[in-house]
Amino acid sequence: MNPFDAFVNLIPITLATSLVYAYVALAILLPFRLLSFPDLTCEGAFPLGGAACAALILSGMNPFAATLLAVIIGGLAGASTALIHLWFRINTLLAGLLVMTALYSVNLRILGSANVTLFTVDSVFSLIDPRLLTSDVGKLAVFGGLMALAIAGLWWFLTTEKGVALRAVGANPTLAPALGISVFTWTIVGLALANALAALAGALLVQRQGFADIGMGFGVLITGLAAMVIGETLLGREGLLRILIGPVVGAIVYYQVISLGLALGLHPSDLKLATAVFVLIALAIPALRGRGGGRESMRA
Amino acid sequence: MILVEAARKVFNKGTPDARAALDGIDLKVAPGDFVVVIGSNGAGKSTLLGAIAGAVMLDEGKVTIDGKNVTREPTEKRARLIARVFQDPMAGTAAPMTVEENLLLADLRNRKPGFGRALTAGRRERWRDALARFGLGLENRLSDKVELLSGGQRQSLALAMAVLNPPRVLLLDEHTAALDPRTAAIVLEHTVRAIAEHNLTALMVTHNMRQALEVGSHLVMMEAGRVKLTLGPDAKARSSVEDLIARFETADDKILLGARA
Repeated sequence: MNPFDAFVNLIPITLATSLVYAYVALAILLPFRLLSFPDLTCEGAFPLGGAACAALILSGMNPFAATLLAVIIGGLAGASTALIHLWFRINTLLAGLLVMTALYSVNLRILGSANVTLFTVDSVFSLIDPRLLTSDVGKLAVFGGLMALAIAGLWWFLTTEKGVALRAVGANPTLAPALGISVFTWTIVGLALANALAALAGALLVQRQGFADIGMGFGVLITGLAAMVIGETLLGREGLLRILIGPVVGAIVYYQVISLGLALGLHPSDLKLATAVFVLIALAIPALRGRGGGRESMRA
Repeated sequence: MILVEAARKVFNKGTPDARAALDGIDLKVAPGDFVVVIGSNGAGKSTLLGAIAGAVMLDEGKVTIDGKNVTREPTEKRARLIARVFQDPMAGTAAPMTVEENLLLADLRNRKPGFGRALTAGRRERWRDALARFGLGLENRLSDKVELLSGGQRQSLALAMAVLNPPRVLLLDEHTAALDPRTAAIVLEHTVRAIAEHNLTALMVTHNMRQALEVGSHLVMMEAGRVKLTLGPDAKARSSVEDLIARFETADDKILLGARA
């Protein structure tokens, strides 16, 4: 089989995978672009969601309840990062790093070992229909549908009065309180929401693949960042719906490009380097064009 | 009604740079009064506005608004009573958001945001009317991002946001200082009109002495964190720029420039 055929055969699988990791990209985008809070927590919240969901299902809990609880726990992880930043005035990146690091141990505790299998128990997918994930079409329909629901939900929330208040905190954190908007409250809400999404991705992934692994979060941050950057490059940053769909499109493109690279001989161990270089270039383009970062000058 | 009693605020406390920006200041602004505050750089004018708005927490003293002690309340709690326009047009608006989203934020100043749609046809119509008064064409740019507007347009929007739901207290912190003379005149004209129309209680800081005499009902001159001089409506009407400058013990370049402007 030639390399290109291998790539083509993998398209449905990588597509379904990217539709799971797209939640992580959204979990990076929401705090970063809407709250101006670069948040690293998702690297821990994603495996946390997976570990919590797996452990809860194995303990006998209904998979739907386990997924919901895993999402809430992920939200709490995000809220912790926000609180560390808000209470102790610790730098946003450092706050995320602290929680992410702590979560590694927490995840190990929850799982009890480096990996657990879920082949013998039900998942949300097998409860709906045991054949749901046996075909490629089924997988794509399920994960595509769930993602569409998530985007619609986020779009709805962000266009309510509450959503606009949240965005104001990121847009002008000194003005927000003068307009009665609590930076404290909305930073917590925003980070909780983002990391709940990351945990949802973890919970869905362990149920799809039938196992949870302590290393499953390794590198999701850079993957999500790459997806976000690709999305912004392709769709731009005008309009809320574009901003929200960007990471999904970005994740899809990213995984296809990676899959193609691997098929063509890219060594898997070079993947992180390739991704980092790619993200660097994409982020540097505006600066190289000479209009990076700086706000538009004032014209009276 | 604003009541500031024995307010004290020391910056860089406990260091050789310690400086009392407010040094036991007392100030009373009766309902409907429009008080203009002047004073040299470092006199404590902006700190006073910050202390009333909640951006500056006092070391000692008390701030009462409409009979309510707000001394320990954070800015976002006081926002129900207070609207503020800053000197920097960037500061008073949310640049990456659209004009209509900014106006929604102004609508939310005195109530909690709900799960309802943020932008509705009815609201847009109301906002369009509010913006049309400025004659800057802002009413046709509701869906434009604020960062695309000029400084004057942004400051007009900031003012429109401040008076959209008439506040109990309007604070203006040199809000025309960063604008070109023509735009400054437009913004000031609309400020005066809005204050008169809604009978607002207002406090305006300015460096422009002529402006200080032309508008407002009362005048307060600050020096070293205290009130040095208070002029009522009659005394203010009789005063000239020269009279005011004579009251400054030390000549201040910015004040003199303001006098000539």
